[in-house]
Amino acid sequence: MKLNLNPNLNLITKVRLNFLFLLVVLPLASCMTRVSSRLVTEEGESRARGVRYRLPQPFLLVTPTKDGLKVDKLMLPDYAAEYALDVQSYMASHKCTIQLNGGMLQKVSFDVDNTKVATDAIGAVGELAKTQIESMPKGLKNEGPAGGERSSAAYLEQPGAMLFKVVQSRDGVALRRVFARQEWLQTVRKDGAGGGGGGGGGGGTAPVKQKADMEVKQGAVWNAVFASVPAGFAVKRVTIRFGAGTPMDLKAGTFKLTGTSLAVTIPESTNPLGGYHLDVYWSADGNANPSSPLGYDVTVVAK
Amino acid sequence: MNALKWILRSGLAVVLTGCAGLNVRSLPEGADTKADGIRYYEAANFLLVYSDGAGSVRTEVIVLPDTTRKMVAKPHTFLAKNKQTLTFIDGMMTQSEAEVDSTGVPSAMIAAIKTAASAAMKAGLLNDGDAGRSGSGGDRAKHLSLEEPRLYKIVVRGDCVTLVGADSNNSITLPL
Repeated sequence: MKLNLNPNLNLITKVRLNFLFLLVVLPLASCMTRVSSRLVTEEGESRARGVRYRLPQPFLLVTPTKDGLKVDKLMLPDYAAEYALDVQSYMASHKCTIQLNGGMLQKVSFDVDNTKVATDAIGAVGELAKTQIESMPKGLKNEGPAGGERSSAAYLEQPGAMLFKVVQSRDGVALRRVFARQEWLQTVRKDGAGGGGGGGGGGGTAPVKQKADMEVKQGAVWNAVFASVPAGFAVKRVTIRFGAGTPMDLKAGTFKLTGTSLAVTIPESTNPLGGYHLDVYWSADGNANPSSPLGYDVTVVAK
Repeated sequence: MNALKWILRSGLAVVLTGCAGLNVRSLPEGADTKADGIRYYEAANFLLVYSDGAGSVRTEVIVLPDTTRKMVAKPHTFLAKNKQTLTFIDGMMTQSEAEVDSTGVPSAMIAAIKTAASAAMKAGLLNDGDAGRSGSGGDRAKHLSLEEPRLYKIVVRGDCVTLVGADSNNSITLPL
């Protein structure tokens, strides 16, 4: 942008006026508050700036009582829908408060005054504007990735309780039963060898599940990939059961952990075909209390 | 001096044209990666049908986030004051919940839906699409065991309420 200044003005005056123009107009144009909230992808997790929140995933918890069934709706954070909320002001004052509940957004309050700095800038035009830039949001509190972690398995601790995930699509809605499954592995330090994500003390927890085959043929290999395998931990036992039937131990040698990949050979004699549940038992050398098994649902189909 | 006046006028004009507000739009499928703004779900009404364990059917209308309708809200402020509070309950913006209520299921209809759904369930109209669970009448309620609560999305169109089940073929329209 260029000013059409009086040609009679000398060069120094023109420069001064242009400088004044830039000093006033540009700050005014930049007096704004930007609220940004973007999806946090696995690749961009480290780069995404802002408070993390997750969208909820609805569940129904069904528990038997003396008077019949009790159905409660539950909202658990959807780990596939994580967003980073960032608020920044340029030459403005603002106060932002973000409240999370279990990692899910509950309240976002903005109190922005972008006119304050602008007014000040205009008032100070004759004496070189003095501006105050508050670029960092106030009141932001990052709950951190572990703050809202909750496992759906915790809701299945009541005897007879069943959890159903509400799965919606454009075509309709269905309830898909969720079986107790461990998403986080309890780790125990062995002689200072260190567990997983616990950091120190007696150990901690580490995320283990990443992805697994949903379907496998009779006699074929079922694959699962773990997010991490804590030092000293190994797969010692794998059981398979049909529906609510009795679990059957798979023979040693039919399952093998290589790095973070687990391969389990499903017996050819697996019958009937349909929905099975695999339990993967972990143990660590020197750990007297092996953790609970990791549960997987898999559909066995004809070879 | 003329230039100085021009500068002051420009600045004043910019200040006067400052604005603040909240842009809200729905997020089309596949646009989640690029969109910028606070995400939330629109609310929707669902009919929950389950057995009380004694062979009879219980129905309940519940409000859940419609995970197929993701929304984006983006507050904006430019040279203005803006004080906003966005409150969410179960991932749904409370203001939007009121809108859904007005276009979704009027409270007077809820009782009618529950009654009609119970009758439809007993008559075997609310088919679960599972061939292995055939049966009708009272058997249907018995088959609705502890392991099989049903959830139907309530879609109101004019004088009819459609209960949409696991897929579009598994739905029933009830006149009100």
